[in-house]
Amino acid sequence: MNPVLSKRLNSEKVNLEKAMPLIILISLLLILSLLKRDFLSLQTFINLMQQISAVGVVSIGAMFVIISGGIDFTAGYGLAMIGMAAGHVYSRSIFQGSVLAVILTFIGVGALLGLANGLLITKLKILPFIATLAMMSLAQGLSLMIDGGTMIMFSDSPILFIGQGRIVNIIPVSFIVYLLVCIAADTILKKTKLGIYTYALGGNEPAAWYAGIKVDNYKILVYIVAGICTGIGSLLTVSKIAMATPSIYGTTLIDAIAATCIGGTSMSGGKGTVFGTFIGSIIIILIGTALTYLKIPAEMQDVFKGVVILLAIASDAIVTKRYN
Amino acid sequence: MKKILALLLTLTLLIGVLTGCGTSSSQAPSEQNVEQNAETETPKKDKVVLGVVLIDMTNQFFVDMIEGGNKAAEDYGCEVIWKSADGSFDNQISLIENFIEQGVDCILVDPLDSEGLRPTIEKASAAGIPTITMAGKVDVDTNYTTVYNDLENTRIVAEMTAKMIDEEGTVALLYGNKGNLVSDLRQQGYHEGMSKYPNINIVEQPTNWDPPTGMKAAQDIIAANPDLKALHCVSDAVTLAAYQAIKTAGKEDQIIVTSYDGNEDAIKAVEAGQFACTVLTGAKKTGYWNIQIGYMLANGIRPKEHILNLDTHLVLTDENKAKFEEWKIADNVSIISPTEALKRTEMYREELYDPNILNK
Repeated sequence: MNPVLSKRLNSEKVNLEKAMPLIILISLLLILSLLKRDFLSLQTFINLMQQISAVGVVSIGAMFVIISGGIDFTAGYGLAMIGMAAGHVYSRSIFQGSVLAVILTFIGVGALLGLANGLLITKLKILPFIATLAMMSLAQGLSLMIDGGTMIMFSDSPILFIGQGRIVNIIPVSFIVYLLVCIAADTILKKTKLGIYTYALGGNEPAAWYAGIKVDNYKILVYIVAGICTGIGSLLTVSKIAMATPSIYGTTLIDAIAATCIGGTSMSGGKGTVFGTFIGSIIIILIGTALTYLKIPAEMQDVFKGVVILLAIASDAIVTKRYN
Repeated sequence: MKKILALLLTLTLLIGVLTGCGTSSSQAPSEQNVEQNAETETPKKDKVVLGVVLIDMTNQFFVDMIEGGNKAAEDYGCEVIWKSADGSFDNQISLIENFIEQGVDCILVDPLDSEGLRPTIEKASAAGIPTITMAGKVDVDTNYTTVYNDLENTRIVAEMTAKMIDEEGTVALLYGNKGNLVSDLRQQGYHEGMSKYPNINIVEQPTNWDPPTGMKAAQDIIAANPDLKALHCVSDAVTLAAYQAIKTAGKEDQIIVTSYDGNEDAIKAVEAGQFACTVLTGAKKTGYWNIQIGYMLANGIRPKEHILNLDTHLVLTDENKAKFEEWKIADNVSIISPTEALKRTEMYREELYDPNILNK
């Protein structure tokens, strides 16, 4: 093939790949507003901003791990376990009622969970799939043991401001937290060693090792980043619903991984962007909202969700294949 | 290597601390603990052993139920092995089969599918083990069903709501999930109650009994139906989360909230006027009561009736109680005030404990 043409095709492919999540989002928005005219209201956007934050932050963590060629299943029950630990600190420890201590618990326990994952994977050489699956089960057990799994209400705590507060009555505080996490993640991925090595690990781990990168250390760091994201996700969830219970994991894990995929992160590692994941998260939340707006019966909801996710991933795959 | 060792040690220590502070303040056994017990110890014959298969252990209702059940085990000196089916019917069957093999004295199960469970219950019966199916009827001679009247209770709540919104408008129902008996009954009850009022339109969403999902569902329903007048949710923990959605939307005064289960925070919400009502079944009491009956069955006592009813109460403020009586929705409903309800949630032990239970 003509080298110039090949190069042009290649750059077109890259552009299209990057734009794919955005194209899917815009088509989804178009279809939804055609089906239901009052869908695109200010209230929908406020709700979207509030609902996206927890899943969004967790999906940023999932993206880091997936780019590095791993996978992290602890985010779901981890979310619940971290919430219960923070609830314990909030209501029953010597730091009772201290906002700072509670926030530190969210982030600290999250980081610890990530560290444990990282150590299991690098030092004991357990496959990420197995290691994080085991940790998931452990997290579930722990969430039931902390205070016997009893629901803890965060009534009238200043922490609720993070999940429920709004700036100028429109922008949810939780969304700002999410944006900050996005900016931090983008900076890490683009400007720091950790970011560049994360791509290198997922792209070609042996090559990274031969190049003298301390593969293990960076892998551990990647899982710690994911753990911290789970911690922040837990903080946003708990402060939004004003309670911590072992059942708050919901569909966060599946949604976060799906958002990452839809956002163009390659499941085999080495590829992915914060922007794509951001768009992916919006799509996931919008699908959920659409189910209510369009009054889709419960039996059909999971099917609907599955079909949209499949369509998103399939269109991505088709575009990629065509240019290859 | 030293570094790794140090890291691992720190980790174990920290996890130890975390678990430590958990177990010291609780009596509910963790799954891990329970599994170990089940595998390493063969039940001693001199102590009655009851095996319980729950649907899920993370839900607040089951957490409370385990607490109540363990109190009963303490009072009667029996051992209870709690197992979670994690929402899977397959798990449920294999857990019951394990209990049969282990030779426990009575098996209690919260059935995911009562009809489908029949062969397994028959197997237990053939092995001489009496069974209790909680909230789901299985017609086997050695099986007893413990229930409270979810359908009728929810029907009453729905009718009360209808009267409160002048019999017209849009109302929302947040249920658990389709195919779950408890959720189905409560959903059916709500529809039956509302069916008398043709000007009421129900919108509904599943929540999987999960608070964040419930909150998102409530948020979306409120956005999609700006004139929403009432919201009912089948379980208190989810209702409390859904209420946060109403609060952030600033619609506390517009939307009437009703709930079910009777956990403490929900009762307080009734007292504060945030919820119009909740139904006190009392998860802790349910747990205590079921273990008590299990203990009786294990000791060879066979009640005459195969369906055993636990009494429930509608929790209403005095003001709403007066209105309720005026509307004449139902007679012979036990209505109690939030203060009374709070007292009762803790008094279940005194209420039910009977030292001469085996002599009856």
